[in-house]
Amino acid sequence: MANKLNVNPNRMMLNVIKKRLVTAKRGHKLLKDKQDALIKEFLQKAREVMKLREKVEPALTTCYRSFLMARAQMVPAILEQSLLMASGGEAMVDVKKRNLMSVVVPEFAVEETGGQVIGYGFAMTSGSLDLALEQFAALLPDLVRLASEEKALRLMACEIERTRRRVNALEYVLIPAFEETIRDITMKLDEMERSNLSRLMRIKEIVRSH
Amino acid sequence: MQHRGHRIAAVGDYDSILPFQAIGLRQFAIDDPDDENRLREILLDLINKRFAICFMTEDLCRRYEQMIDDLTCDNMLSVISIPTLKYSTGYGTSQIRNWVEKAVGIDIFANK
Repeated sequence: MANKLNVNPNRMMLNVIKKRLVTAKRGHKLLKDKQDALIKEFLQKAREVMKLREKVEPALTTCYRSFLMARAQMVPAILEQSLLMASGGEAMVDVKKRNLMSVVVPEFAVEETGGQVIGYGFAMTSGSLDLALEQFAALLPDLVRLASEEKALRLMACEIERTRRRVNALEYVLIPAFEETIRDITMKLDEMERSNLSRLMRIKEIVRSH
Repeated sequence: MQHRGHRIAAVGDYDSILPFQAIGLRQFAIDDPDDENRLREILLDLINKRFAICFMTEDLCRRYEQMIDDLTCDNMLSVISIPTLKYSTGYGTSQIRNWVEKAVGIDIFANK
């Protein structure tokens, strides 16, 4: 049994609580709809992210493997120097925010830097390093997409949990408490009505007998 | 609304994040995986400097999962786990399964 609210049992309070009950029921319905839509969207996204991750992880392992091969063929100091000079500049992403069922999720897009030019000399480096770095560069857009999708998934998971708590609080605590209070106030008002009526009848009887 | 020019970082042991430097990512090497404070400093620095993405090696992600969640839940920094040079434990996929289980109540990828 839900805990009834601690309010004065009068008509004004009854009206106020009835209005609050209507609002709570409407809020509950809206939140429930939001939760259902979020879950639908979430599951779809989760499947996509899983597929993307299953694609990216083996590709990254392959990249690592070819990088290890290149590394084994080169002197460590020269390799580090080459890697420092390798990139044409810093990789940048554009961030766009998208509202997905009131969850603001980021969308990342790799900025075009105008062609990746290998910036190190070819005399001291091995050809396998070029290949390995090319593989890494080709994987970057997928990694960035994975980052944006995973962040969205994580934010949506948090939002679903929060919405579920709200729905449950309304459904199992607030709405039953309002209903219980309304019942209680109605009973008290009815009781007052009955006692008033019997008092009036009694007074009328006394008056008539005199 | 679009914001341009956010940087990308790679955090982890030196060997694993070395190749990322070549494709233009800013690297932050962590030599001692027990050093929680160093990782926290790096993450706070990334948030302050408005980095968009942080690729972090699996071992660190697994170990400091709670701290990473706490630091990144209310900003746009996206921390993504990547396998290390030596091994891959499948932490990335298990993390997705955890989120699904947390949100929906069941693991929809359980039969796979």
